[in-house]
Amino acid sequence: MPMVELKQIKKRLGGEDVLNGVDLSVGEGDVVVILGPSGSGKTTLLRTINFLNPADSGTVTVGGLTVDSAKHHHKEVLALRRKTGMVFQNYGLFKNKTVLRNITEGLTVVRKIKKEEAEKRAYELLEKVNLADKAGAYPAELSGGQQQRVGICRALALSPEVILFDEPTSALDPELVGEVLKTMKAVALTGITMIVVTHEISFAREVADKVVYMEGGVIVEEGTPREVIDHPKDERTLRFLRSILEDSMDYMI
Amino acid sequence: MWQGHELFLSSLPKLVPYIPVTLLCFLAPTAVSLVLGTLICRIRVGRKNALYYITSLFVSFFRGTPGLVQIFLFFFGLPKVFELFGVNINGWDAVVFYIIATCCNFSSFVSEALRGAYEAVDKGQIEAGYSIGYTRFQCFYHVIAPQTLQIALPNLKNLEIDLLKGVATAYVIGAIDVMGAAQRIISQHRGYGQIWILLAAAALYFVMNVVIEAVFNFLTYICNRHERVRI
Ligand SMILES: Nc1ncnc2c1ncn2[C@@H]1O[C@H](COP(=O)(O)OP(=O)(O)OP(=O)(O)O)[C@@H](O)[C@H]1O
Ligand SMILES: [Mg+2]
Repeated sequence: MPMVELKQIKKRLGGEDVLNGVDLSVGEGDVVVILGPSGSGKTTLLRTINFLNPADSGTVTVGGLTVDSAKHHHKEVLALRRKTGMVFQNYGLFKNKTVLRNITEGLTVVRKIKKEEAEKRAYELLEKVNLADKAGAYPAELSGGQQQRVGICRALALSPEVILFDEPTSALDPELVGEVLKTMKAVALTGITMIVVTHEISFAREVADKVVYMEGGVIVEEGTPREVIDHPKDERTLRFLRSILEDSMDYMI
Repeated sequence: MWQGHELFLSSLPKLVPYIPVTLLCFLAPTAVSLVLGTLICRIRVGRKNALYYITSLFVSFFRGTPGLVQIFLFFFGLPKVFELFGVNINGWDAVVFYIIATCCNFSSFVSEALRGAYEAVDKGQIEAGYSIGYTRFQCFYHVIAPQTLQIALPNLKNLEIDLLKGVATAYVIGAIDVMGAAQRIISQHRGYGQIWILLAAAALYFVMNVVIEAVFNFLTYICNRHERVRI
């Protein structure tokens, strides 16, 4: 049984069809990378999964819990959110809380775990991303890369069944992208299910079990990285890949 | 003239016993407005239902008419309203009427300060709260409320200072706070040396304001910790 399953997800925003019936199935422990041009609906799709922005229709299943977007009860949504974690493009750390509190909050408030135990878990995670010495710092004192690694720790702390990443590296200075991607690779190796929106083709190639190409609110093509990135069948996928590869060439020059 | 400062000094101990009344007229609306203002704010940032329009009307009335008029309206109007239900409240102290009117007035101002601050809270912070599985209440309590309060603090401080100074108008309906007591002393002296007596009252209000300001500066200091980064 798939860990995450989306069926016929549709959404209109500002009088436009942003998602036109998306079906997606993600196996347990799989890493799925979603590619697509700006405005293709990637962020919107990700946010319909944890109901930050519910779809108009379609069903979302996470870890065996199915919720109908059209008629969802807030208790169902809460249960579903507690099975998912999210890493935001702009990190989304609680800016008035220390790094440690950012990570322990979910454990103590949502899981009702004792403070000491929560802090122990937080330190374990911070050790893994080499940020234990920043536990007492506020987000504003950290670099973007450090903040994003804390964001990943915060999501991981709650041991979700799936983590959603929305362009986790696109707000970062180029020299900080590597450290975050490295952390994400380490997370992938732990066997947790991940859905990642990113333009980092090399990450997709190395880590993804499945690559999905979206355009105009539908999935145009999906398959292994080899199939989609190296041998795209659809004209649109090819055009998109060419454009971002050219961009990165410009970058190198 | 040389007797003036003696009058100033001799009025002070006569006014000090009325400080608790002034503080009551200040603290009661402060406490009530924290709850009522928050509720009104919550309603006014939500869906536009009947409650929304009722509270909007409430807020525009109390923000749009002079506080002095409201005090008189409550003082003369409230007993009439209670009379309709057969309750006689003419025996109530004028202070009570002042406090009721001011609670309504002040909650309206506080709700607007909170609303402005709520709208300035980064919505990404709220989403982050939901993403880690907060209920609506948990998100309100742990994310929205602290950040809204932090943003609203400078405004709230100004409102609280105005609130305290406003207590001086309570004497118009016969409530005896520091200002009321000063008026009484002045009439006992048949108006002689009133400037010195008023200055004594002013000094007391000033001291109370200094304390309020210190409290708010301390709160601001605590709430802004995370912005004083050590980079
Ligand atoms: N709140 C909104 N109101 C109206 N239209 C919206 C809203 N949010 C998104 N859209 C529209 O929906 C479409 C999809 O947006 P979305 O943010 O999902 O794209 P994306 O694939 O994540 O793009 P990007 O790569 O730039 O992040 C866009 O055309 C956008 O203009
Ligand atoms: Mg996006």
